[in-house]
This record gives sequence, structure tokens and C-alpha cells, in this order.
Amino acid sequence: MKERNIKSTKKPNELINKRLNRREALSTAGKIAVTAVVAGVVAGVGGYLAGSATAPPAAPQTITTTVKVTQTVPTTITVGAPTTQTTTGYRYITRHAQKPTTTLIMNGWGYRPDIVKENIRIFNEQLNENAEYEVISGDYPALMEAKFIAGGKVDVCYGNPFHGARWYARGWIRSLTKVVSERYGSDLYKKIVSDMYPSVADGFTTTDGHLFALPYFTSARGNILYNELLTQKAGIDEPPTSWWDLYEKIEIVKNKGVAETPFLPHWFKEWFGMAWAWLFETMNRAKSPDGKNCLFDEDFNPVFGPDTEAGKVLKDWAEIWKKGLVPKGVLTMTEADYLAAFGTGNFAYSPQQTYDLKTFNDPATSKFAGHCRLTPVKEHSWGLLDMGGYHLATPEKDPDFDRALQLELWYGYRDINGVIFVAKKWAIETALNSGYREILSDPDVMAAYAKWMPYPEELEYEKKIMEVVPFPWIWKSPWYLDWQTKASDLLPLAASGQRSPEDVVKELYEYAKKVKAESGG
Amino acid sequence: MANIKHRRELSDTTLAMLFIAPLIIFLFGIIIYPMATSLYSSFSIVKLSPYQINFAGLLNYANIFSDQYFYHSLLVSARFVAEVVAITTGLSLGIALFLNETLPFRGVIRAIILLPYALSEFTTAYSWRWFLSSDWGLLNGILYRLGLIKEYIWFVNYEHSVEWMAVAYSWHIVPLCAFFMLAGLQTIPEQLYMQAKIDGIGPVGRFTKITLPFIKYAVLITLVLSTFFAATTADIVILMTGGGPGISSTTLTYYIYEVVFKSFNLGYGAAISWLLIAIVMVLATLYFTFLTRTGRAR
Amino acid sequence: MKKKLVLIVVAIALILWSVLPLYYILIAAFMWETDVVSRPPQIFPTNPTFSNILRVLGFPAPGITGEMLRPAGYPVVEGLTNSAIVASTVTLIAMAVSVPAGYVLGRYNIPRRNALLMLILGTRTLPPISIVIPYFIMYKTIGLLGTHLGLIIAHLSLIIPLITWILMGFFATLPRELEKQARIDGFTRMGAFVRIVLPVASSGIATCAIIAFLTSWNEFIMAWILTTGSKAQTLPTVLATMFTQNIGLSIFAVANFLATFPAILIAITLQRHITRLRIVDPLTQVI
Repeated sequence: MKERNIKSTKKPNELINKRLNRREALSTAGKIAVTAVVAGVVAGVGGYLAGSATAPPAAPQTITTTVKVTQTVPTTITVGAPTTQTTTGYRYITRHAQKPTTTLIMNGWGYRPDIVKENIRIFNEQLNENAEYEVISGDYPALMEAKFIAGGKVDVCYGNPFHGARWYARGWIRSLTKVVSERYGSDLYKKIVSDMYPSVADGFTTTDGHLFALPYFTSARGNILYNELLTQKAGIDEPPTSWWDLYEKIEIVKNKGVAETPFLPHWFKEWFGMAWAWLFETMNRAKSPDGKNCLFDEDFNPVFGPDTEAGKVLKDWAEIWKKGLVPKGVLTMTEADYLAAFGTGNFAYSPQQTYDLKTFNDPATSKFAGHCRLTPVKEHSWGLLDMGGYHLATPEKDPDFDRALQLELWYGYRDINGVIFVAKKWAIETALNSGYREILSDPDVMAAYAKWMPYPEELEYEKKIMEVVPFPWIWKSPWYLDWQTKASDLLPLAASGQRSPEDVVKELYEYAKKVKAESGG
Repeated sequence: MANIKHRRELSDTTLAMLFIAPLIIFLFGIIIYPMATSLYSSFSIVKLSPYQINFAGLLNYANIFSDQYFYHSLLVSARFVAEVVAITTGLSLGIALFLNETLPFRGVIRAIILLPYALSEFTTAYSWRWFLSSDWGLLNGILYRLGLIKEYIWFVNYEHSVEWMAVAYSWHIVPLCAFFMLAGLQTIPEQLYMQAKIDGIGPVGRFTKITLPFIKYAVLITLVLSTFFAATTADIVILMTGGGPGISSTTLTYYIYEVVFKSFNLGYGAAISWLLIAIVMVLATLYFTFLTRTGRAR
Repeated sequence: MKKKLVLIVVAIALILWSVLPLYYILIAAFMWETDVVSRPPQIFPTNPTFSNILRVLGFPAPGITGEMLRPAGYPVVEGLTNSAIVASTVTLIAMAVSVPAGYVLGRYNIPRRNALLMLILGTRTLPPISIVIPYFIMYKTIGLLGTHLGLIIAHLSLIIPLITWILMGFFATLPRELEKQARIDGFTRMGAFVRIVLPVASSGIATCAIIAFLTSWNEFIMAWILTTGSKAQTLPTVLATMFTQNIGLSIFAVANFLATFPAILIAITLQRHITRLRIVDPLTQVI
């Protein structure tokens, strides 16, 4: 029987007794919402009970920090070279007598928020503080900038060097050179800088000499990692010595039938994807430490063209696409997809982050764990210096400024015991290298690395890579991000043959000039 | 007729005004103000820090007309909207006709059909992204297991990214439109069909003469809603293809997103937005005049 | 007989169409990371696990080697709660404004009715991505960024025009004699509305309430821009946190899986009422 709408023939009086009315409908909607939350909580509780019944929660490798309650901590700072400081404890971090009522906010992108939350918890315990970590989702630079524009509360936040340069130019973050020297003395400031690798310190300094961030992680992004199971099957015994050698090797792998698309290029669709690939491959091949002679010069003018190394890179990309050596779906991959893809073990070579050497040797995330190898430096450097830093955004007039500066120093330098705590923890737990030199020589860190590194000599490769890895000078310009967006849109067109590489290079050149002019240099 | 005048009553007009008042207040307070700001910024240059807004006349609009990426995005949007409207109208009608039949497990089937609408655009975009993935997607997997393909297909490529986005988006909004049409279908009296069969009118004739008039407004709603939704959505582009590969699926709304949130060029973004709004309004007016002109003659 | 066969085939096709694209992202929640990317994909997980769900909900759980892993650290429960708060409030306010307005616009010929209809239609054409910017700037000055109230207002700007418009068409379908009969029976106009019209319209109103709730619950772009990183972030915003960074496909799949539950509940409730949501052109129906 077909349902009929027979209301039109019923008398209104008879319909007065309709049960369901608006209030009920809304309560249904409300019930649904409540049910959803309750279902989530019930599932969670059930899961917890199930979980706790099966296995005891064993903490993964962590550094145990004993929180000393007294203010003076009798430890000495022992670093490589002896210092002229008094060794009566780390006096720059102090614990509060009473927990503050206002909350400090730290913002960052979504990498291992579980670890960051734990770090913040330890900070709160050590200093009797009140701080929180809030993740900014998705397009971090855009949303962080939007937050600054809107005047939202931020005390400490992540960023890459070009973010910092831009934010500093707009007055959203503080000069650590100024505030650390003013409040703690220039001795501490100089010590901090000398503890970093020179290229790291330089990367976080503006053109007029202001340090605007403390190091979070440093890595070479664009280091070639390879799957030795596949390369050995194709009869290749040596890692690639250069980008040109790499392109020859991937053809061999394909011709031997070992892999359909042997190379997973760094062309995924993120703001640090294809544009960065162009930068690093150009700098590597032109043997340039900062891109000044092949990308953008000292004054940020573009110096690339169809016949320069940068143009040749694009032409090579178009070639390998045409030869079917790369998976076409990479152009719409997110970073998670990109890592998952290499983790399948179906690709022989891929430019990755140095710290992902651990990810791909971990059976939880990789199908060829134990067989992922790092390519050493031979003819030229690999990748570019990818660094994250912690920036201080609190205005100096803010009553919480001193607390925020403490958070910055604790998180980005040493804790209450004088240990470079957070950096060391990252290195042990996720193999993130630090901008501080002493970390890679720390015995705890080296022991942690030895646990997962299948070939211990690769730790030496890493050290050498970090010494020569280039850093793009253009990242110090405040308009770089604008150009990067355009590059991310156009580079895929050149690689996939939709437009000619010459065209795209010319357009990117013109666009860079335009943006530079509009922003006043 | 008992006209109980001694009770104080609201007149027709007063009641109407009372009921409309919240809507008017809301419209003017909450929507008109941002719209006005946006319109003004389309005629200005907006600097962000410090925030200042300087009148600049038609500068932004002039820039639009010399911007090849604007035209590209406009074409992509037009293609996307056309495809979504076509797929949605066709599928909704088909599903509505199907659901109108006597079916067992009617509740279950309806709930399953409604499910894509109940999901968010976020889950829609990601489900389809994973489904169509050329590395480990289910669609490729099924075709491969069935022996139909030897190599995985790159579905979301330059040529077809817009089509797949249109399919995914239609998947999401079809259930709502289908049910609007279904509601209309269910008011059609059975006798009309029987009479038509007796009179010897074929299935096509029955459809056009009996079915269509009853669901005319539902079809109109479907056309209008699918046009509006498809023309103004940015979520699915950001989440499913990121405007890519390259810029092949960069709709006008995604272009606005890039202009505003990556280049922080608010004035320009506002100008493009208003052009888009104007185009959509023209389309809506066309729909209404075309389809209600005949309906008005009752 | 042939018709029945056709119906069954169509039914299966429709069910596959509705469920198949969703299927993989749901079962991936129960698979280990390295299994998710198998080629060809596993139709049923060969190595199922609950660890991912536990970790997303905030509990430690064993990893693929048996070693205990920390909970994932994403505020999913907070996102769920915020979404519930925002969506419920939006629905209540939207219905309170749209039902009376839709009633009047759908059944009475008030002065400047056409202008109002055009205005409502016009506000419906605003792309959310465009309207979020002035809201963003407005909220920055008055301090509503990252608050529930701010997002509620933004959602209302999307939902009220839509719901008013649907209700308009719906109220127009109610029999014309409804009010006249009520007057004869001695109700005041207001009384007629509350006691007679509303109960008759209940199914349609319920459906619109559910549509309003759903639209707010699922809304992504405004929630993302106006609440990301704040205490008021809704579930889609939290999901967005998980999709770019290095977090693992199965964890991400869990988040989508959790977000689907309310959707399924809603679909089941909605299907009962939505077939009664008949709409006609209000311009042809005037009392």
C-alpha cells in the first residue's frame, strides 16, 4: 500500500491529538547528541577495562626526571668545552611557589601531540606552572597567521624559519636576542647560540641579527632513503652518489622488473611538498649552500631560468614522469599518504626526512623494517635543512611575559636541571635531531638510536649530512610563502607534462619579481 | 459564525509581523553586517597588520578580469556545478521512483540511502579519496581482484578530477533531494495512473503528464539546492583533491580560499566572492522564472 | 515478476552505491597501519585490532609488536562534546526563528513578501568560505573567536535561510481550511497556530530540525577557521588536525569511524519523518 498524505481530507479537530510536536522533535535531536557522547564514553570505558585486563601499561623509553622541589639545584652543566659560568646549578629556570592562575598557551602542528602533551605536563610539574598545548590543525601557517591577525592568545608556537622571519617582520614574535639579553644577561644568550650548530643559529636569525626562535628539530628533508631489498634484487649494490646517478638507478630497477614505479618523488600536495623538492634538488645539484647562485640572490631577486640548474631539474622531472618511473597519484597525496606509501615497501627510492629512517625501520609503520637505508653524502649534499623552532609571541607588556619566556627557555633549551630535556627526549623517542650539537653525542641518545638503526655506521652519515645540508636564503624573506603557494600550484603542471617546464619556470620567475615588488622587497 | 471580538486578538498583520520579526532581526544583525563588510572590502585594499582598509574603487574587479587563473577556476566551477546538478537530479529522481514502490525492509533501505547525506563532507571527501586511491584504493582493488585490470588506474587525474569530485559530492546530497521528490511522489493518487492506463497512455506519457506536475516543485528545489551547494562549497575541494592535481580541480571557491588564506589578499578574495554570488543569484532567478511561470497559472 | 527482479537488482545497486565508498575507511579503523596500504586491499581485516580505537579515545594500547603505545593525544572527546553543544543550540534557535517565519511566508500574503523571499534566497547563495572572513575579522574585534557563541552565530547564518526556505514550502502544503476551521472552533490566531497548525506540521518540523542539526554538526570550514586550536573546537576541526601530519592512516580512520556513529543514528531517525516533508511553491499558496 502506498503511503498517502491524507491530511488534506481530515478535519483539523481530529489532528489536535498528534503526538509528536516540535519540542519532542528537538528533544530527539538532543537525544541523538547525548547518545553520541554517551556511546563514545561507554565505548571508551569498556575499552579501558578490556585494555587494562590484558596488558600492564608499560611506558615506552622515556627519560625519567626527578622533580626537585628546592629552588637551588646542585647540578653542574657539563658541555663539551668548559664554560666560565659558575657551576652552582641552573639558575635560569625557577619554580613557582604558587601555581599561577592564568594559562600559558603553546600552539603547534599535529606531530605526536601525545609526546608534546607529556612534555607540557612535565613542565607544569617542574615549575609548578599552568601551561597547555593546543594543536592547530591542517594548514598550520595559514591558521597561525590568521590567529595572530585576530589577536588570539599565543605564548609559544612552532614554526619553520620562514614563518619566523615573516612573523618577526610583522611584529608578532619577539627578538630573543633582545629579551634574553635584557632579562638574563648576554652571557646566557651567547651560550645558547654557541650550543647550536652554526647553520641552525643562522637560520633562525634575521638579516639584521635578531634570533627569533629556539630549535625544535633539525633534519635534512630530501635525503634519499632506499629499500635495500628492492635495490639488491635489481643488482644495485651502492647507494646513489648524486641526483643524476639516482635517476639512472631507478631506470635500472624498472627495467629489471623489480618495481613498477621505483621512485616516490617528494611531490605530494602539502605546503612543504613539491616546492621544497624543487628548492633542494636545485641546491644539491648546483652545490649551493644557500641557493644564492641558483634560486634567489642576497637581495631575494630570482635568478633561475629555463637554462639554469633549476630549469634542468624541472625538465628531468617531466622526463621521469613520461617514462612512468613515478606513481601519478603522488600529486594529491597528503604527508600521511606519502609516508604510508613508502612504508608499503613498493618503492625503491624516495626523498624523505632523515628522522623517518626510524619510521621505516619500525614494523608498526613499515613493511620493510630493518631494511631501510640512508644515502651518504658523496658528490653533493642531500635535501635541505628543515628546522622547526619555538617562537615567543607574548607581548613584552603582558603580565605573563616572564612566565612565557621561561616556557620558551625550558622547552627550547634547558630544564630546571640544566639538561636540554625536550630535545633529548625527541631524539630518543622519535629520532628527531636537535639543533644543539651535544645531543647527537649524548650517550643516552646514541644508545636509543642503536636500538633501531640496522646499520650503526649510518649515524655517522647523519652527522655528515647535517654539516653540509643547505638552507635556502630565500626563507628569510617575508614574502616567500606567497611565492611558495604559486609554485605548489604550477610545478605539478610542469612535471606531468600539462605545461612546458620552460613556461612554468618563466612564470614563477615573473611571479617572484611581482611579489617582491609588491611587498617592498 | 462566532466572531469572538471581546477577546483581545492579534490581527492578521500583527501576527505576521510578530512571527517575521526574529527573522528580520537575525538577517540584518547577523548576516547583513558581514555581507556589507565583505562588499566594502571588495572595493578596497585590505592590509592585515595593522588592520587597515583603504578604498580603491574597482581595482580588485579590474584585476580579476586580467587574471587567467580566475577564468580557469570559473570554468572548473561551471563544469563542476553542471555535473553535480545533472547527476543529482537524475539520481534523485531515480531513487525517488524506486523508493515509491512497495518494498520490504523499507526503513532499513531508507536509512542506508540516507547515510551519505548524514555523513559530513569531511568523511565524504576522505572516503572517496581512499576509495579512488591509485595506490591502495578499494575500487582499484575490486577491479583488480575481479581480473578486470592489471595495473591500478589513476582515477583522480588531470582530466577527470572534477568529474570524480562531482560524483562524490552528488553522492552526499542526492539523498536529501531524493526524499523531497519522494514526498511529492507519494501524494499522487493511484487512480490517475489507472485512468491513464485505461486511456492507453504509455509509460513516458504517464510520467510527463501525471508524475512530473506533482513533483515539479521538488525538482525545482533539487535544481536550486544542488546549484547553490555545488557553487558555494569549498570543503570537498580542500579535502578530496586539494584543488589538484596541479590546479585541475580548483573551483572558484578553492581559488578564493587560496587568495584569502594563503596570500592574505582579502580585498581581492572578497571581489571574487561577490562575482560568484552574482552569478549564482542570476542562475537562481532563471530557475525560478522558468519553472514557476507554468506553476503560477493555477 | 520481472518487476520484482528489477527492484531487487536496483536495491542491491543502491545499497552498494551508498555503502561501498565508505566501507574501507571504516574497517581501516580496525587494521594495522601496514595492512591498510595492502595491495590488493583486504576486504576483511586479516589481522584485526582494537588498539587504534582505544588510542584515539585516550587510552594506551598495544602496538603491532605488542609494545604498549601511548594514547593518540587528539581531543576527540572534546570535539564530540563541542559539536553536540553547538549543533543543539543552533537547532533550537534556528527552529525558533524559522518556524514562525516559514509559516507566515508560506501561507500569508504580507507586504513586501517577494522582497523578503529574494533576501532569504540571496543569503543562501553566500559561499561559506566568503562569509567566514568578515566573521573572522568581526570576532577578532569583539572577542568571539574560538568560542561556542561565535560559531553558533556563524552556523545560524547558514542554516536559518535554508530552513526557513524549506519550511516555507512545507507550510504551504497544509490544507487551507486549517486556520479557518480553527477560527470557527473559537481559537485565537496565536492559539490556532500553536494548538492546531504546529501539531499538524510536526513531522515536517521534526525533519527540518534534524536537517538543521546535521548541517551544523557536519559543518567544516567555518568551524575550522573560527575554532581551530581553541577550547571550542568541534569534531570536524579535530579531524582536520589529524589529516595532514604524520599520524597514521588507521588512527585517522578511527576518527572518521567515530564520526559516523551519530550519522547512522540520525539517518535512522530521519528516514521515518522525511517522507512527510512535502513542499510546494509557496507563491502559489496563499490564504
